[in-house]
Amino acid sequence: MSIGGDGPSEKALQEFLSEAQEIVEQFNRDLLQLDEQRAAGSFDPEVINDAFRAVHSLKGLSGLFGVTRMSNLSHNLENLLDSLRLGRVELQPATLDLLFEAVALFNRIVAETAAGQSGDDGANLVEDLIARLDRVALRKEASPEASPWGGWELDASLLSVLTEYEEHRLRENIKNGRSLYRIHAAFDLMTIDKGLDELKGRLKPVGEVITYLPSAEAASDQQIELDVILGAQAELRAVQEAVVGTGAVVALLPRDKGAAGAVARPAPTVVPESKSEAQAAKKAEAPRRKSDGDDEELTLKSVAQTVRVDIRKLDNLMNIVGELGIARAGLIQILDRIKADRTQAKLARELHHELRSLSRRLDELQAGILEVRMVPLGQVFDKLSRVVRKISRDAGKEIRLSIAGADTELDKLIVEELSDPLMHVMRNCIDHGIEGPEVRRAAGKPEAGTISIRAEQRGNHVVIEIEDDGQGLDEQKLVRKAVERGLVGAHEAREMSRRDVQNLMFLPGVSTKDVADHMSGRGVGMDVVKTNIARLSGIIDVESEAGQGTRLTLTLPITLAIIQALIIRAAGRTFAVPLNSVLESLRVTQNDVRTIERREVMSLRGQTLPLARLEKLFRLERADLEGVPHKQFVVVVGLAQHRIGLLVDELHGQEDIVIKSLGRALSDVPGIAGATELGGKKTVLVLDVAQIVEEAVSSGGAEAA
Amino acid sequence: MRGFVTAALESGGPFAVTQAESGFHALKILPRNRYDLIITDINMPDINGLELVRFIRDSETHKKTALVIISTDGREADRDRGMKLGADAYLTKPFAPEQLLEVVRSLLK
Amino acid sequence: MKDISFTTEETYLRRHDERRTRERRGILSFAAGNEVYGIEILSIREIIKLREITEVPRAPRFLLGVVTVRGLVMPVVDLRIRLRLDSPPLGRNSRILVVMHKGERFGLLVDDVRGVVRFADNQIEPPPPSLAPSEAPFLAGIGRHPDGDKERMVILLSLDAVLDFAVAAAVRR
Repeated sequence: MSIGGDGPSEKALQEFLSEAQEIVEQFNRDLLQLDEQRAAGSFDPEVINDAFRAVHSLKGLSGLFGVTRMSNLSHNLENLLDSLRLGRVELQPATLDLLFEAVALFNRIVAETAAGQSGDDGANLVEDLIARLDRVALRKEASPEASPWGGWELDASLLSVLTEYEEHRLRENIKNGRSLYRIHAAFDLMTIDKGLDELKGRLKPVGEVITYLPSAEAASDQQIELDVILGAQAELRAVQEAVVGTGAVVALLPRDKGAAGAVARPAPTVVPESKSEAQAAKKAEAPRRKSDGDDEELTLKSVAQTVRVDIRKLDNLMNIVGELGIARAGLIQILDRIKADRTQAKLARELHHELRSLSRRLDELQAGILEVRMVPLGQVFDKLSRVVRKISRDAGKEIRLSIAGADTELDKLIVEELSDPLMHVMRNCIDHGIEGPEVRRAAGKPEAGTISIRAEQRGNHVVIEIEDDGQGLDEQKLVRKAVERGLVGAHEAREMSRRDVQNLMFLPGVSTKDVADHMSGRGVGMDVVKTNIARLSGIIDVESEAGQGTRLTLTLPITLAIIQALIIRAAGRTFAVPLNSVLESLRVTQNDVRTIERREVMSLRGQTLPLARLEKLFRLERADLEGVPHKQFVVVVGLAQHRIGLLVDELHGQEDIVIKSLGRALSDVPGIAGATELGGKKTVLVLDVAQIVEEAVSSGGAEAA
Repeated sequence: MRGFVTAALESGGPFAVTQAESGFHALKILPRNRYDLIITDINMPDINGLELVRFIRDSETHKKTALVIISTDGREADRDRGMKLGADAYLTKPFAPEQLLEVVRSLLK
Repeated sequence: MKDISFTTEETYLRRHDERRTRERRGILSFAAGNEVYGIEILSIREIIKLREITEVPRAPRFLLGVVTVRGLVMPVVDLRIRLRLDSPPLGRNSRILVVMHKGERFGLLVDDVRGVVRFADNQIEPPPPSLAPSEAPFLAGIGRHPDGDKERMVILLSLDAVLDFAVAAAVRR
């Protein structure tokens, strides 16, 4: 789509109308649920949250298409719903009625937009409703200055050892109304690994571990003491029960007196007194690298001034930035030459100064463009919830979908490519995972199956977890099918670990249905999903418990555009290996390489690491006649649970690179993800680690020379 | 990262390098051995680098050991905290082997 | 008919623009494997001198590798190998034609660039069956034009056929 200009085209209008209608329907359903709950006396925060998200989407959508009445209304509605979900405003019957009025008004706006009418009298209705909504929104509990930590007393020594990311997780937990616990545990040095795993396993179902604090004072030679900070929805008793038998002691973190119930936002503003402050406070959510001063500007403008950009134009901009970087490198070389001339010292200094400025700006530009490419996963998740509703209806199963982390941002390209694989995963989940209502009832489970999608940024990656409470994987069936299809030998199958067996579901033909049904055929296999994720340089993993459920974990890089890479040389050619796939690198000599059953391996910390010689894999011939050098390097790379070591000749350090596509004709070359220009001079291929690992694993590693 | 650092150190050697796989592992091996220099990443899961720095500075054996933290570009707050907690130097990813060696050599003089 | 000799990319592009406005069907003629071939000039983006080509592993022989031109990565095809012709050694006149095919850029390695030739429709014939069968699928026709007292022949190539390949098919075991 091109940048918006003189109004939406016919096709775009249709897109908008159908999406808007769906969202309004969803909003309506949420309100109906709340209405039912009103009778029971307590509201489900998930539903309020869902309503908030629906209105949020509507706001974004109508802003993009320039339907101002709708975006204004959504905007104010969003404020109110935000206050509601944070418990700052109570949901009273009159408020609920207001919300229903909003639904009616939305429907009217949609109808008028479809008919091409401007609806002037409608504008008055909108203003009137907005005014009434605002009155409710501002009628918050007269709480005093809420503390920045939502009422929790967190001592400085704890805060000072949290990384920015962990602090963010802490705030998120507080924002979501969870309780904070400190769990004290002591471990014997000899058995600390097991003890930790045990504790982790107990805590995981109960809440989120924010950090582990080692305590040096108590450490004797034999023992280590740890404090685990946990954020959990559960009550103290539940957490204590979870760790019973481990010797861990659970305590609630202390709270400020008189601040019970009030959950405030992190700095800067505390209690919104005007619309603009409320908006600024809202944008403090999921902070990125923006300065506070800019936030307010952004929010006040964001409604009317979002722009639709063709991502190819962004790629073009990235290219230009790359070229500027090359020019900068050239200038630096010239600077070096000037520096060599003593008579030009002053000139050299001035040039150096300017170059430093230039470099800073260039970096900012690069970061800025990357940021523009980032979009929230919520886009995909919204579509998913609609798809899930449809599939579950067709399958005759009731599904409760819970979504968290819709704010998590990823490169737009990745987000767009994710919607298909995620949809297939959902389908798989609903078809194979969640049982029918009678089966569930008999098993003592709630009739509605739960699927939860959680997205979270962890360092350079985004992790998306999709968990269901269905019947789990039928491991015997997986093995049987894999053996039937000749993908695994019967003997091998007996030796496989549970994890390996569960990962069989990613082999072609194993996860599709035996009998095609009239609606979805055999379904799309999980092998396709895995390939699609791998194309995005991501990995997918599965964990399952029979009778309890299955969890799929997708790990994706945040952006494909610029990545860190390890530069290597093999057989006279230079390659770049994306650093996020590199686990470690070591020096070896040919003595370290052994051959087992015609495969080359080496021993790494007591375990056998299969090796792959890059030159063999790529059939590269050496120019010199000396053959393989005695000393080489092994770059250990991993894909899910598979690791291999790539044998290369030299390591040339890390670089930030921009991966460029090789074009359609070469897009399927196995083992190559793209190319990049190093130092502006040399075109170097970027390895596709996922494919290389797969190739090495499936062909049994490198053949011995 | 570990592999890269180890390879860089070994190539600029002679250094005897011990690797710890995680914060926990470091907790295990630190009390029982003496080291001249410790290098740690900040952004690690479970026990992060900052907690490790504090643990090291609170411990008897390594209170005064030279300590280098590795931070991620863009996370200056983490780096500052690390320095405040007592690290001696920091490196920001991505860095070249020479930079690492420079820091290491100057701290070990 | 003037033959234009090209010395720089800039000169070529300038003249290319001038000519494009005047001709209906311009053909860039060039030498490859001891024959003279031609490609529609509208498909040609630029002509560059030889530069280092980064090899792509496990690619078919005609695919020399990739080059980066102004930040854009493109595959380079050795036209002589692709058309199964003789491959004289590369020399000072060798060039890479940067062409557009289905929205993407490709490089074609040729031995010598000759010039732009204008053809009227009646000067183009379909390719005769007697020509080497290995070349046949790539040919779009034969153009004849008078040059002084001689008649020159240019074998017109179908870019679609030449560049219609997917390397994966050639590589996968």
